[in-house]
Amino acid sequence: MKINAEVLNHSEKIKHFLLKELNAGQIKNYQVNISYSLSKSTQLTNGIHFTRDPLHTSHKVTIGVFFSTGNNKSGILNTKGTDFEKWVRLYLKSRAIAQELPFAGKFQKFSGYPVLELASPELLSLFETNNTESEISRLMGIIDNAAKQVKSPRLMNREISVLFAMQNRIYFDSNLNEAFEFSASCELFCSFSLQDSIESSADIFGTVPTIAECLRLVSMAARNIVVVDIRPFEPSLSYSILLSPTALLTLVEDLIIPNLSLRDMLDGTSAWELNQLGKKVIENISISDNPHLKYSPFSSAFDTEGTPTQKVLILDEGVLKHPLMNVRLLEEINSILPEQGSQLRLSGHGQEGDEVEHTNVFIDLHIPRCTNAELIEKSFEVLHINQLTGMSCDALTGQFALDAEGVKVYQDGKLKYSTSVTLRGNLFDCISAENNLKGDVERVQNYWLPSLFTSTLKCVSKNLP
Amino acid sequence: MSFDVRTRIGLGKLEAVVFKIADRMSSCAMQYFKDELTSENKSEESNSSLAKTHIEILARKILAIETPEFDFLADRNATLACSDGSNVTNTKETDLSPSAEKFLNLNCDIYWMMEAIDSPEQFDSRGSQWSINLSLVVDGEPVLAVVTFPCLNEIFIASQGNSSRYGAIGSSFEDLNKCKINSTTAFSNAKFGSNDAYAYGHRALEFLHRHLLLKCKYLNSFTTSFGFTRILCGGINIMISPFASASTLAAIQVLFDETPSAVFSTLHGHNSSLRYRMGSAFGVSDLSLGEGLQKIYNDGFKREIAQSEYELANGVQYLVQKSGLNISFLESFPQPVLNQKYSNDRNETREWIRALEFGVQKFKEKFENYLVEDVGVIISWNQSLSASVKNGKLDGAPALNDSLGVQVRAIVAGAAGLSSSTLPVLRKKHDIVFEALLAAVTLAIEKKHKPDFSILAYRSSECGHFGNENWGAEIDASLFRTYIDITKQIHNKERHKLLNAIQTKILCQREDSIQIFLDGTHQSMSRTSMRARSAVYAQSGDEKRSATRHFWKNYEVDKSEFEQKLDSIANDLSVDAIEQLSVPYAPESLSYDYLAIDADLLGLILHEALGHALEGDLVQGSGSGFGINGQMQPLTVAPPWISVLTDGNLDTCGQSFVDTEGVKSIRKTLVKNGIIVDGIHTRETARKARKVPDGCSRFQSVFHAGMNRMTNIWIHAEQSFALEDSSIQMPLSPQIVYNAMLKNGFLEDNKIVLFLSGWQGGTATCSNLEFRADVDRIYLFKKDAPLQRFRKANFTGIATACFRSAIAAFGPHMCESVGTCGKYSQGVMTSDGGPAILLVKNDPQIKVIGTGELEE
Repeated sequence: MKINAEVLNHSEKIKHFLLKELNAGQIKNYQVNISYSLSKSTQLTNGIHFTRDPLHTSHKVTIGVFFSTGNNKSGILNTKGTDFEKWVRLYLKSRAIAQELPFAGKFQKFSGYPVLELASPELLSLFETNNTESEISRLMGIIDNAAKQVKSPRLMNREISVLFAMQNRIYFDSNLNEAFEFSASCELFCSFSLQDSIESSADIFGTVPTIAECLRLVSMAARNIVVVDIRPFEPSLSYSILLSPTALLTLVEDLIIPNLSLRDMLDGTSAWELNQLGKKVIENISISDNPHLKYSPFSSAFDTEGTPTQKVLILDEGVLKHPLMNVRLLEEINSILPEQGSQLRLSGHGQEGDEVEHTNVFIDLHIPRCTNAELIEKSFEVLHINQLTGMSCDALTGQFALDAEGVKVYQDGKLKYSTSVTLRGNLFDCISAENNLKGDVERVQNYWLPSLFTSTLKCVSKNLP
Repeated sequence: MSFDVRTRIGLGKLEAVVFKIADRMSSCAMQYFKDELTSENKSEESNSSLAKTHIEILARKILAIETPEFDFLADRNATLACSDGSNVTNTKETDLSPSAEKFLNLNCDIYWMMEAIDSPEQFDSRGSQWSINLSLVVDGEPVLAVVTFPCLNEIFIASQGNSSRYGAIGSSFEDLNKCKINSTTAFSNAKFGSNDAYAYGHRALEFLHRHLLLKCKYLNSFTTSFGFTRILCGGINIMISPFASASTLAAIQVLFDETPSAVFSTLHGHNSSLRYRMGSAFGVSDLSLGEGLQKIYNDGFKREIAQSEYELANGVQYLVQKSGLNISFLESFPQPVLNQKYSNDRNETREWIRALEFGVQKFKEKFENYLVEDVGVIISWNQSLSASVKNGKLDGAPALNDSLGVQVRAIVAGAAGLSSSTLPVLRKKHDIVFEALLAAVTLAIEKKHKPDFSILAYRSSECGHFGNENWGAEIDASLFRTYIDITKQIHNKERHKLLNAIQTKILCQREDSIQIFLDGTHQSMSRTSMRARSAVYAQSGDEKRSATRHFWKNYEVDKSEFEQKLDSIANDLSVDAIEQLSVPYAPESLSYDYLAIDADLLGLILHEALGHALEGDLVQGSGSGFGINGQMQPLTVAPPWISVLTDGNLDTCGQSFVDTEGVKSIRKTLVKNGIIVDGIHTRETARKARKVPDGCSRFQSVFHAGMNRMTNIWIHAEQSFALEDSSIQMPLSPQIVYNAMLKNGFLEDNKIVLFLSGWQGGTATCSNLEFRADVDRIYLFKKDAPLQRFRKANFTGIATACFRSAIAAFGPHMCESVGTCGKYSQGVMTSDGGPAILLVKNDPQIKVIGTGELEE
């Protein structure tokens, strides 16, 4: 599929304008991102279409420009849906708010970009033949029919949604780098919520799903729907906790990922310091990022700074290997900590400002592995926590207290009852503890990670009816 | 020409003059109508535009000679000079903007008013239903009119007291027929609609319009003049026009006034003082219909509209049957009179109005039977400037974000379709409208809805501008730079050696939008806000702590206020961050007798647990613990001295004057004396619940669908103990709270009060009303014992148990919290609160679970 002609036209106009400015000596560096996206989506709640769940078509054109002038003043302009004349006016206004930065960003000239398969032929065909609406109806029908079969006396809501999306991206900069990519994906989501628990959900993405894949989506979403008594948690003397990948991800996202911010490491506002590069900061956990996964909507060939993407090992068995960064951060490190800077490279995860963006993230725990079924039987009493909610997390120390609803309590490997608890403890200590086990790996959003079996965290009963 | 203004003597002679002029104007128009412009001579202007120009010049020249003392008002006068250089003296400013109105003094001058081509789209598409309208206005009242239909060879003419007549163009004046319908009853007895109509009766009329236009397919049955003149000559019995220009209706009003038994009613525009300057008009051909309308009209303003909706519907049904119309009408309507104040680009706005018209027309050609219940377009322009400053230096480059987006929502046969796009659109505007309609009907067909299925509750139509600023202003970039400079200076102040970092994020936002709906409701909104969030970090050895706070104002804060506020926050946070180094984590279980919950935290629990459970879609979709089979239950959720209110008009971060459905925010009591009495309703959920929509249909951006969302929600306590500091501000001083507890005896008998303050976030489960909130600061009060502080606890339990356990309130009501509420992957800003302190007695269903170890 070709890049949208209107987008190309915009791209050329902006390029022409920037080159004119460059010749006048006004701009030292610029990076331009242009994207066009088209999406079609809808959702159903208990088989009802509320007006909040319309069949929705969305067209978006966005332009993002990072620039620095001859005297090193830098600014960012992001705009959606602006005609060219207005764009020029906005551009001048963004120049007016630009301020001096210690580093302007010295962009490299890249030799090439990875060629990725980001859209399947089936999806391309659907968009080209303009048949997405009928396909949405077909998939909604299949999923809703399957979801209707899921029964539970405490079942409150079943929700399903289908999204078809495609995107053109264009990049060019003052160093004559040019790149573009086309991606498309189909995303399906199904969730069930019970009276006593937060939703149990699953999603799939990639190419157009088969009927079998749709049915599997529903069964994945429904796997936590069980008919057991609800009662307050009465802990035995020794109990263990099985954190699902979803629950573990909540903890990792709130307590570990924030500490991997290079900006915060530089400023001393992360739990870890940059001089710990190459050293162990935590035990037993590896985190890597792979932007090249086939048909993943999170994959990409280049970042917003035009850097070609690469796989990165961020944490290797607890050793701080390679935090993600953008051009400006790398420059700053090279100037103040050249020894650490020499160990780092751009990996195509940069964003404007000092932000970075993860793509497909793989989290591994370096502990013995069992199946989830085996883990349930590893202790007399096991609390299987599917999801955690709340915000009582201190990333600087790893301390947290989060709520868990619909917790399934197993005794001697048998499901006894369902309960609500507050899970409390310290994730850094928990990850480092001995005798932990890991379970099956699953994908949650753009993260792939296992479940965690541990005895180091505490569950506090809420004594709720 | 002799004409006595006081007695109107001479009007008859003037009629003969304009009759001749009409003939010449008709010929002039037909030249352009017949002229197939070739590619060589095709200009930028349309045929109708060229015709208008020349008809106006022609009329002005003749009338300047015939009536040199009269002024002349028409579309083109302001931009035209007479091409032949003739001395035309009776031109004036033409636009009906407030300034033009003042200049012309339209209420007392005598002037000709012309609509040179009424329905130019008909003209340009080579249809026949366009007219040339000319009227004479004296002291703000039209007294003479001629309406000419060149393609149909018809002319209608009337002057005050001389009856209306019609005939062929070019015939003799004496040969014209008198317009006479079926009764000789004086029209004045049946006439209704006056200057007061807008103030008292407009909701009833708008309701009538909605039904007639949409449900009964009377959607502007014909182009305006054509339709109304069909009534006068007996072609149809009823005609409704939701929008009509003054110049069109000035002429038609005279025709009606002079036709026995015809009824003509006007609905006056929002900012108009002139009788014929209206947003809507309708005409009927006999008195019985008129009386029916009169009844509906009278009923409409005697009652609340929500109560009379069904009664009105019955009245409308009667009228429709009575009129006996079965014509398949062409849908078309002219532009609303949008005030310049809230439309900086009238052409763009008009283009969208046309797009609505054409989109619906195209849709009706394919799906004639399907009820188009509502179609609306929202055009939104958002600007923001943002920067992050860390330790006195910029943390990345300052950014300008700008977006212009458009959303069209269509409700067809009970199903919704949405189409959103950035501009310049990659497709034509009316295609976007059609796309939304098509999506809606696709869902309706898939769900097997009946074609006439309707789902929306009536809305009280609000036309106008909302917000404190004019539409379309730009954010002040220089002020934003000043904010950054001030922030750097504050960061660079010398601070305690244990403080290792300070960060401030600044965000200035401005949002301007226009929304226009098929039933004629149109609004514009503007809103400016300024937000700053600061964080201070402290470190001692390996121990690190952080403290954060933000502030929000719905205006451009001047530099002295910004400096004062930011400096104060930085100082407070510095003290707090250092203090935290020695503050232990809250133990796993804290025992207490009472919980003192501050307004911010109270608001969070109210919002998350009670507020969401009161949202109509969650109640009706079986997601709320307050609903059984989709019906809200009148449960007792608090003591009788507590009520819960919502109102989008408060000056908070949850402010929302009018929602995405065009419904204005109203103050609503959700819980009265402790009992649930109402929910938070969009037009859809209000219809099902038989309640009134409250302006809660909000979205994150035009790229999202609107849904039931909270704006501002707060607990209202009937009685409240005073706090010693009258200038209460959040966060409350723990000492003030301690003193209040001591003074009012809540610390007697060794009672323990836990004061909870400062939340980082929270959620709730609507189905079982279980909430959890992260509490940053926990203070333990005990008489004659030093204050003890802890940090980080999960405050959790059942919301209704929490509110039912309330025993006292302290201080004024506050609804100032700043928060982003997430629902179905959309975030919108909301505020919540209640009394400064709500005191709750110990209850086993409420717990404060610390992140630390068990209490020793």
